[in-house]
Amino acid sequence: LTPAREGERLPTATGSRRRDLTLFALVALALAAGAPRLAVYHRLRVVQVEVERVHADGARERLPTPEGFRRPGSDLDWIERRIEDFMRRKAPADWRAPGSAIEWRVRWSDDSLRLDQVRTLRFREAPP
Amino acid sequence: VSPRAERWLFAPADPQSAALLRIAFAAFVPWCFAMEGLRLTLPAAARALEPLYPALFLTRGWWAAILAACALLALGVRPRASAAALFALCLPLAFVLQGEKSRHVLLVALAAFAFVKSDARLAPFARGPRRAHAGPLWPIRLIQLDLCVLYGVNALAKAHPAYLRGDVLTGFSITRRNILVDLSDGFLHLGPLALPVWLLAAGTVATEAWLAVGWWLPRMRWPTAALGIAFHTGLRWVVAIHMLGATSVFLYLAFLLPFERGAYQASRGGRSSATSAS
Repeated sequence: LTPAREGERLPTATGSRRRDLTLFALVALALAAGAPRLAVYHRLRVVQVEVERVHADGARERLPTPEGFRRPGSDLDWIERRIEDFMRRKAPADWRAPGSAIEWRVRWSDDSLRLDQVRTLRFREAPP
Repeated sequence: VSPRAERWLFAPADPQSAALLRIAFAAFVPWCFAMEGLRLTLPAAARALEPLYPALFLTRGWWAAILAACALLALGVRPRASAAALFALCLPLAFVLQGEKSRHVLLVALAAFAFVKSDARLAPFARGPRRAHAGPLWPIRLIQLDLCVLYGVNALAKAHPAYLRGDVLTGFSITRRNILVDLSDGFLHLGPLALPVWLLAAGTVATEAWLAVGWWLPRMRWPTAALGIAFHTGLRWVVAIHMLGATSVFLYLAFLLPFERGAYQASRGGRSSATSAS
């Protein structure tokens, strides 16, 4: 675009150049203020859930991670609540060996694949 | 304001382009703001308004009002008032979490569009003299900036080592259900081809960065649009996202329609086209 020439009359939306500029600035500011919310990706939290049975003699046996925990999401508190709910209501009968315990390990890391942070939940069975 | 900035903001906008964008808005808004399947999840700041949603904003009556405003906008009946009414009607729906990003983007564009003096041209009952212009370009500039900010913010958010290494995409494919391809081994498998994830990640950032700036080079607008459409088409195969892609592509119209045609004519022909309409 060429620069406006002196004396050239350009249109306005509201009848006043000053009002137009104010409106432009207001909408532009609203746009800038809301811009960070437009980012689709903020941070990655990679979470992996593992389950083990810990026998009375201390031996560990890896169990298959239940289907619903293979892509567990990224909210650790929510995952823990789901694990507790699973153990209360859906745990397979063969997980419940007397004297053993079930240990869930929730491993995670932020913006990396190292999975170097761990939360452990242990569910102890009644002794034989 | 410098003369160049003055023309950038206040040069007359092409009326036919404005009419086309108005009709496109009227067609797109109902789809973008569709209430079907919308779960009422509000951000903490808007929780106080929650009772109003089932009682008012998410009712068939409200939806009918949105459709009526869209019909008036499409026909060009008091287009600025119709666009403003549509903005007011859609505003409460923008707070509902679930596809809210695309609604925010479209709402800013709609707010800007409410200042465009598009006439009833292309409407079936159009009468009287046609406008020589659709008012100043600045509302269209806001829509253009809206699109560029969307891409720019997303490019910046991803421009860090973990993303560029491909770790983030690999992690997403392991943890997120909306990732439709398996990148867990660090590769995207396309038949016999195995594309490293870092290349995919870097390509995404470069594409979004280009889509934030490429539009401002007039000769690159159509190639940029082609790149954007290819990018969003490819993305649909990799990730299930709500409607942000479609909203972005819709806003390409702000660059692809020749809004500046009037500005070039005015700069060549002096005052003729700039002053002949109200």
